[in-house]
Amino acid sequence: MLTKPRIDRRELDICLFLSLVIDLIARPGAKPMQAGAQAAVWAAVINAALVVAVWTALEKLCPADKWFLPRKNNLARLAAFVLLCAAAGESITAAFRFLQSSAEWKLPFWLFLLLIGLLAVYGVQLGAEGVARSGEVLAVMLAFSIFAILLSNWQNASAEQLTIRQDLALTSLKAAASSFRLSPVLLAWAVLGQETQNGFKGGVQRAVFAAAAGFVLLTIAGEGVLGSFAAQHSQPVYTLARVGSLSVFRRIDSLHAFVWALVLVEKIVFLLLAASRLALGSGRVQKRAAASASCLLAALAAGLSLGAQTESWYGALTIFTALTALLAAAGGKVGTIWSKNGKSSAL
Amino acid sequence: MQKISHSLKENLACLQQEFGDSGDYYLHQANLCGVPCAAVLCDVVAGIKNTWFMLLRPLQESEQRFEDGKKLFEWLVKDSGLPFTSKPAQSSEQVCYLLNAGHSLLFVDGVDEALVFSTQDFALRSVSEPDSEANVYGSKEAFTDVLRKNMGLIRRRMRGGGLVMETLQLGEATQTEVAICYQKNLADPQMVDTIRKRLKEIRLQMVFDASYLAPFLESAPASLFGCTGMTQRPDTLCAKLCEGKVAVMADGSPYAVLVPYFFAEHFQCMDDYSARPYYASFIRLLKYMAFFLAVMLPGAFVSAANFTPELFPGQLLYKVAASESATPLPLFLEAIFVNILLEVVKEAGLRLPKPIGHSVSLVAALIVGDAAVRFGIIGSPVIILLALSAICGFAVPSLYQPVTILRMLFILAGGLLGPCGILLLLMALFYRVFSIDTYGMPYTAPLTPYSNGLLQDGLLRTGWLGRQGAFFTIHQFKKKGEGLHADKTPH
Repeated sequence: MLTKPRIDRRELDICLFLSLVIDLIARPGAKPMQAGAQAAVWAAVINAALVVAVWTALEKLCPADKWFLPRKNNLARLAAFVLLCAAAGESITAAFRFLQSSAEWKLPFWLFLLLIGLLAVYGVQLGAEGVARSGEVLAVMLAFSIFAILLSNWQNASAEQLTIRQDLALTSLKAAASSFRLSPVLLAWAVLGQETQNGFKGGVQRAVFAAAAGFVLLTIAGEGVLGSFAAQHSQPVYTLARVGSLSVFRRIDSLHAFVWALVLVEKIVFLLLAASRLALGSGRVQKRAAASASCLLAALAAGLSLGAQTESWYGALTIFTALTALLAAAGGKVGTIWSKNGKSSAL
Repeated sequence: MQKISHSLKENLACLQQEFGDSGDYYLHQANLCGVPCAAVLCDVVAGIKNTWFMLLRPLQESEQRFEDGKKLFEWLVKDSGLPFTSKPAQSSEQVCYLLNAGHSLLFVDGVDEALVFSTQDFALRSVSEPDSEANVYGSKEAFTDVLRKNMGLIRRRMRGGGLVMETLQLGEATQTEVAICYQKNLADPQMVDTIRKRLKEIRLQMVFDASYLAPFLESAPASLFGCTGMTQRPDTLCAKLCEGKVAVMADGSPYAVLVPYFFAEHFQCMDDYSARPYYASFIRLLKYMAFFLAVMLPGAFVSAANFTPELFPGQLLYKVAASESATPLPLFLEAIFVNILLEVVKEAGLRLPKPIGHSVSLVAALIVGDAAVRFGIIGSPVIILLALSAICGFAVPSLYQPVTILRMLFILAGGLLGPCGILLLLMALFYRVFSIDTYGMPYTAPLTPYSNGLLQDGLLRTGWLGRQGAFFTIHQFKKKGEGLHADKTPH
């Protein structure tokens, strides 16, 4: 008999925050924003508010803890399972590209895929507590990394580098439109939220605004150091890490890259954990089989995304996430109504 | 279970069959108060003099006379004032156990019980300084090999009441006395019940050390990191009892098993609570750093040297490259070889007799280390880093076993897979350690899940002035929602 793990709400929110913020920091292959810091900051605020508004609206339709109840709303569960595996696959590709670009090592992709898959199965087998608690430690490491980046570039930063745009509103809106993302990790959070001991309301809002705040800070720091070149980089934060130095330490960017890679791996396992929970909830699947199935599907998605454009995957995932969330909320609402009326709630 | 017979002759015949071949079996038959009786003991563990003064002499000199054994027995138990133990022996198994434990027994003709005297008088090691948990301040006493003495060392320190020390026998052949110690006002009764039940279910042939029992009390016996701790110090054990933990001790062992034991406790010592808080905090952070260096430094070096040499500063890179080109083995094989050699040297130094043990380090350092480097078999950077790693490992001695294995694994991961290997192994380690729960509490508490205890007595230590009035027990780590913090009121 599977025992239900109990993870803390704070740990879950931290995992969500990490998964969101790492997408803003380590973005190999992503299109540069091409907008200055001023527009990028406004774009971040607009997008964060949009994501929160969408999420709040969906939660008003049906609370997120009822979206993926076992043996109810099976269509949404299936859609979410596929989505989370695809997102994990995309994250695996992103991690591979990031490690290749930052560490310049030549590990074959299939070997990387195998190792990540084994780790993911291991992490999922051990349970949600291991993944959730790792998030707290990684959050501290990430905070130190960001602090070190800011400190190492302190002397290079200049307020004169920050540009003021004349057409701020239009540029901001264009930047917001081109960079809007609805991350599948939000759905992973909703799936795992059923396992928290103390509810999980408000977690998405907190995590999204915290990630946006982090992005704002790093964007301003990026332009303050790199000037207008920051907008031409797909990973300006990594450039900051390369440029900065602390005393005699010249290549601390490798340490930063290491920490970010850890966070990327945590995101991958977080997504696969949620996916395997969806597979487990059907009642017919064993834990290891659920984890293995999730990893295999993620590996397939990773293979497909390796040859594809990053932006097209981002766009597809955003649309699929929105549709799945709508389906989950609507299905959860219908299921709740049917339950109240005493009918079978299986969709 | 075979009951003791009413007939003195039958009982003595049974004892003769069981112990008669042993040279230490002592039997003294006498008419005491007009009734045939027999005193038996094993004279290598029980004192004949004690038996004479406590039992035989008072009865010989008594003017009481009884018609039968039952009346004599009743008088002995109720009115004689002799120092018998509270429970007489009733079975042959009990008789065997008590005789082997150094008790003397008095058999009375016509009675199917035997009176028991505590007349132990065997050779034992005196209370000495601990050899594995040295400290600068605080008590210098360590447990001995005798359980009852150890129980006395604990009782002497816990005078506030509530201390319970239950005993049971474990080991089919040894029937070793084992004690379960806890503070009944602080320990979780459910946890105590679980520990008691697990101990009673143990089926071992022999128990010579408390560590034999540790795997049965573990929550994750297959894990590299154990959820039980060992201590040789009575003050440490009492401190853990005051936190609501349970200690298990075995006769014949100077070590006690502490249950549960958290990851952060490996980095704590009694000196932390005697030193100033800022220094204690500094030392703790140093130990955490030493742990990670011990585990990851060799692997990280091998990974960087083989896969990402651009990370090294220029001068260091030249030296590493020159050293690597001069040696026949690949870098990571060198690291594995030196690591194994270090373990062999350590083990040899530990097991050799003391007079020649010190020469092992001389041989290892001069002949193996220096000559191997001069000859070009091993490179100096590898030796330096592994020596540094070993020294860092000694800073956290209770984690020496997992550190040794993890060091090897990180060397293999770094040497074969580079930064990716280190990364994935580190994440696997995180998931394993953070997923362990021990008796309903996270093994990595208070590090994660975060609680105020992290800054009070986890990663850092606050002073006693700031902690007075705060009553801490480990049950505050039990998984609950947000806001884990020290309870201000005592139980």
